[in-house]
Amino acid sequence: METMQAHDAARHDTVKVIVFSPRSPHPREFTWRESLKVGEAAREAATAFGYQGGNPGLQTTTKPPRVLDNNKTLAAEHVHDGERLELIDTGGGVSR
Amino acid sequence: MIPAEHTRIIVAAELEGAQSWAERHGLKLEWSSPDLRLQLTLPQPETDATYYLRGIFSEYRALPPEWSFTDSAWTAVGRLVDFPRPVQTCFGASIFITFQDRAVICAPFNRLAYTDHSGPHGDWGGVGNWLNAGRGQIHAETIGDMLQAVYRDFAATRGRMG
Repeated sequence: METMQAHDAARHDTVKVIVFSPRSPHPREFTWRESLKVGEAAREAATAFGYQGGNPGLQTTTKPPRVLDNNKTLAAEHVHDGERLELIDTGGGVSR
Repeated sequence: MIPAEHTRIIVAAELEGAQSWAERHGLKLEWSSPDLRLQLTLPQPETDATYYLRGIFSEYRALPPEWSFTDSAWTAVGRLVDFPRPVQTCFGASIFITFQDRAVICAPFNRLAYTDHSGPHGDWGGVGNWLNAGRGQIHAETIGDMLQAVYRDFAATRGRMG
C-alpha cells in the first residue's frame, strides 16, 4: 500500500509533454518533474534533438505562443500533462 | 568552393524538419533546387500584410545562407519597405536592423550580416566562422532553426520599416 502511494505521489509530481523542434519532423515525448526549471528541461530536449550550443527555451504551440520563463519551474509555468511545446532559441538580437 | 550538388544533399536532409515546422505554423515554404533558393511567405500577425523571406544557399554549409526579406517577385534585397518594423521582444533587441540605409537580418546565420558581404559585422571572425559567432545571442544552425529564429522576431512586428 505504501509503495503504491509513493508511486502515485511520484506520478503526480511529473508531467508528460510532447516537444517539437524546428529541425526535426518527429516530435519527442519527455516526462519531467514539475519542479524542474524550464531552462533545464529545454536543455535536455535540445540535447535529445542534437543541439550542442545555443540558448534553448520552450514555448507553447498555442496561437500566439507563450514563451516559458527559463528561470521558473514547469509547475510555475503551468505546464500540464500532454502539453505540446516547441523548442526555440532565446538568444537576443545583435545590437550595433 | 562547395559544389552545388553537395549543398542540395545537405539542404534536402534539413528541409524535412523545416517543412514540418512551416506546416505546424501554417506557412508556405518552397525550395527551388536549380537556383538553391528557399522562399517563405509570412503573413504579419498584427496587420495580415504579406512578407517574403528568401534564402540563397550557395556554398551552404561552409557559409551561411543569404537571408533577406524581398519584394513579392523575390528579387529586391535589403529594401526597408520589404522589411517588418522591428519591435523589442522578451528576448531583447530585434534581429531586423537598418545598416547604411539598407535593411538587414542581423544574425550570425545570415551571410549578409557580415562585413565582407556588405553587412555590419566584422567582429564575428569572418563569415566562415558563422557556427561559432555571436555566442550568447540568437543562434541557429539548421534551416528549421533559422526559420524559427526569424519568425520568432517577425511575429512581434507591426508594419513596415519604410
